[in-house]
Amino acid sequence: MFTKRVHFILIFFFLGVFSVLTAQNKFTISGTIKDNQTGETMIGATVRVVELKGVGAAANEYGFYSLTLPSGNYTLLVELIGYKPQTKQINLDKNIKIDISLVENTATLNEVIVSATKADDKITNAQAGIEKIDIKEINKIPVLMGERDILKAIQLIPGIKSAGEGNAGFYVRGGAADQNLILLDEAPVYNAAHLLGFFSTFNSDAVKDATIYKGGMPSQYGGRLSSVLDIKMKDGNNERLGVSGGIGIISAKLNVEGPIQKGKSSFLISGRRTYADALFKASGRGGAVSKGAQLFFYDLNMKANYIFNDKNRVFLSGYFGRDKLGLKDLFGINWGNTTGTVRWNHVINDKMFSNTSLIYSDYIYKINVNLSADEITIASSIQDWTLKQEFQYFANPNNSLRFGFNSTYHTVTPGQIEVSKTSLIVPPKLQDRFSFENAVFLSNTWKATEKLNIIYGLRLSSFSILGKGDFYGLDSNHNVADTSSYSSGEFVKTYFNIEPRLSANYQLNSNSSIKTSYARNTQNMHLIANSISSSPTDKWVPSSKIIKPEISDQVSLGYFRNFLENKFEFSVEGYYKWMQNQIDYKDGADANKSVAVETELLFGEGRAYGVEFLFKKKYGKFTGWVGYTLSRTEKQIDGINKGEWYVAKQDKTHDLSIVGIYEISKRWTLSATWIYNTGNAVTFPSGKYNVANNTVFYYTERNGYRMPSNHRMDVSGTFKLKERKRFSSEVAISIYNVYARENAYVITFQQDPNDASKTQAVQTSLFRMVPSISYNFKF
Amino acid sequence: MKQIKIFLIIASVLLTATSCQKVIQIDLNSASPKYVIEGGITNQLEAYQIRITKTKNFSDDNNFNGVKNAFVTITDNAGNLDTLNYTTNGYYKSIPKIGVEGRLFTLNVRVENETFSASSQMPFLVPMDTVYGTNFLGFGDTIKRVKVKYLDPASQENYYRFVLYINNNIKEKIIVGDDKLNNGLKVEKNLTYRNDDDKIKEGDSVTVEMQCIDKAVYNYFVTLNKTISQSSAAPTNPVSNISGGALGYFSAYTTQKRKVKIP
Repeated sequence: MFTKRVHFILIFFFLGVFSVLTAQNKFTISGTIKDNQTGETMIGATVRVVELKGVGAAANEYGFYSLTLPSGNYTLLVELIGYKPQTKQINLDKNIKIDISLVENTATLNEVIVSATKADDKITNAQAGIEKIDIKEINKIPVLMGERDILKAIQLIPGIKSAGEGNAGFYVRGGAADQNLILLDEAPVYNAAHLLGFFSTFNSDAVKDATIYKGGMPSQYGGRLSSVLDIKMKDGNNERLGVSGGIGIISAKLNVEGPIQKGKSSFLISGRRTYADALFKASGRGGAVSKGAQLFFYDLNMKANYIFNDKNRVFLSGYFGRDKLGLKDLFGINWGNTTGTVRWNHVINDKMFSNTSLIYSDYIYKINVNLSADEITIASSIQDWTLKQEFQYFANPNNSLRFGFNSTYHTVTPGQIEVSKTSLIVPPKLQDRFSFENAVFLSNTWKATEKLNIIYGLRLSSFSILGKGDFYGLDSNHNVADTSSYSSGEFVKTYFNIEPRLSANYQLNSNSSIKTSYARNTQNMHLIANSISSSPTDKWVPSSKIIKPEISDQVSLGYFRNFLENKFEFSVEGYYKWMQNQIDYKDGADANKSVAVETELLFGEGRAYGVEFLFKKKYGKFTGWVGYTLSRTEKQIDGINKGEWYVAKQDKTHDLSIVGIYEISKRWTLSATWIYNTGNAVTFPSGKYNVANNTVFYYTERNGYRMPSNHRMDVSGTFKLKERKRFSSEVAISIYNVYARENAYVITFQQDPNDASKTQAVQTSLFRMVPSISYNFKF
Repeated sequence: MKQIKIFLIIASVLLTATSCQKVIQIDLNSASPKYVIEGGITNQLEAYQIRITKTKNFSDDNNFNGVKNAFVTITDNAGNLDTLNYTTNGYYKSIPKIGVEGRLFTLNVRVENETFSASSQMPFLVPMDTVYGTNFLGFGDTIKRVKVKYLDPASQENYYRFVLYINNNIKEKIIVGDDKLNNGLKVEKNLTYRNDDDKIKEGDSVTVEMQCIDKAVYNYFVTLNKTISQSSAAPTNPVSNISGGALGYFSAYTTQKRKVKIP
């Protein structure tokens, strides 16, 4: 079965290479596509040849394009939604370089929603399961406390579900929250949540492009089972200095960008700070507890790039964010991510583009407890160093190849307990874990016929567990049976995986297409979490001798149709996903005191399937979409639910979101969203008994009940204030949960405080109506 | 770790400030009743005691009636066999006997057509050193609590359970400890008791019972605490040391008590 699959892939590669060999008497046009105002490179802008139907190229993630054609006279049409189309006459008798600056289409800005995609992109793009997130559109969607948020906005897309109110985690096609690869300028972000999940780490002011892959991921991505969220920071304006910022009820932010070499290179610095605790203290709620309470986060995005010459450009980007939560000197917890990326773009020749990245990512948390005689600190971190090399070869208009490798060295420091002051406690020494993750990848975007587009590729991945450290074998009762010690740098075990990837699009006519995809993904860094809400202290654990790489196989099939000159989009996409080596805590696990975390875990498999519908109006004064997902996610783990299949926590049968944005006038924009979903699968008691003087609830089956359904409407209005020369500003008012629906956050069971002979169920809801106002400016 | 959890909850409530709670009606399935066995043997001269009850539906009241018609025996690895006779309210008792430290006791219960069994080894006694009342300044006011001091023996794994009596009323709070972080050291264990409508106050007379329990019983109480606190996303029944499908536990333990007046 498997070897057949490999054969199939190899045949595809040969076909691609064959067409490369037949190329002759051809020349190449290449260059960079930019915005003429800001100099930002335009990801995904298309260059089409008017004379040759269906022949064209798209700019890559650095705005670079390359198109190889037989010699002749051509008209190039360069397009990107929201920009004026540009034509260029060329006489192609040698290789030429043409940089193109597109002009923003301000005349129709009020009628057309600026989108980073081409009008019929959904129909023509070979990539299945992809959603591009429009940053400008996000800014119009109402949000909690007025804090614009990419992670909240993507949860309105079918197939992507919220992990719950007040939780930045999300579930893609039945995958768990840790199965999403979240990249910020190529650096993995291990915890994308601020303030316990109420906000995400991504400052939308600093973000240029965000794309999520729900399935059929291209082979350059790997390491997580369910999705890839690829976020790219803005490069910064290289034409003039610009400042923008905003003040809201819980946060303030400032963004500065400007040229380093005018018209060529630039920098950007963007910072945010929340003051939720100050607001809370001012409100006088919480009494004594609120005094001395600390609760805030800040983050900083920085980026700079420098152009050495036509062929070489270097980018530096970094992110630094910290959350602090504390109470006087009694207790404190702080956590955050640091990422850094150095990239070198090199144009090897007009057909070949190279990017080399050195990537650093680090996530830490630290807890201080000073409640008793001992002052205890618990520190944990995960640190990655990655070297990534990628080549893009624009062989001919029908084939463009991408290949390269990716090497990561992970160091995981588990929650090590340290004690100062007294010696009443001697904590066990938990060992750091070292691992080396490697992958080589190759993919080709192949225009097989005018109607059939295929992206196919292969990723070979390996994960090596390295010493120094002790590694365990377990007996059938999950107790440590044997321990082997390894010295520094020694290979303990290596897992190899072959991950084929395929995504194909068959265009039925100019309005409709069918897409299908298959992808195998593997995952070697696992987040083990078992509490109701996500916590910054949830444990990341690498694969070990016992913990095997998680593997998923996903197939999808979809139908895409556009109506009325691409004004409306409709799509339906179904998927089925198999997941192996899934992990869960065993009953009564105690991960914090266990030297061998494997003794606390159980392993099994999962399956997820569903169908997603999306109907979207893209242009006009009124825009928006309706998304609906019908799905199911199940798990089977020996030792849980008597080894029978059970519904996973992230299973939500129905999930509906409606988004509407209405531009009343040049100054007023109104928007509203409404969401409805089936409640999470939960475990409720089916009985009760008395033991040790407590009334204890008796549980029969895992996740046998449902939380009540959630629904909520949010509205917002944005009013543009008078523009003066270069200064513009706006006031945004939003109301979260406008009809004050009490959605259940958690349901607990307890003794009736008024009648000790009775028990009752109590529902806690987080947010009823939350109004907010913010002011944003730009000059 | 528990304080951290509590703090996280406080923080999220602080942040939202609009959260609210209400009692709701939920249709919960009724499960077929299961037997619940709770029992113990101590190192004191007292009856071996087992209580057998059954689970009830969630909507029923909290009066758990005893099961009368069971046949209950306890054996030890020194060859002794005791039959426990029904008294009242689900309790089965032997004649007063001292449980010997270090011995393995096995409980067998036969009721209707089901049989259950459990074993527990009575640990060797770890002497209590002192118990004293103390103040702790935290969360904006003074909290009264009790501390117990003892020397943990280095030579073996030790597990403890502490039961609090305030003015001679037993409190339901389950407090257990192990020696993973302090094996062989002097231990000063904090015992707090504080909830919405009850806490340790100045002038209270607090009795601390210190039990040395075996690992399986410790594990039972740790998981019982998780079940009671409902902090897990997927709550489960505690891990019982009784085989045959009954809920509850069987513990052979040493016990000592000390009383202290709270200053």
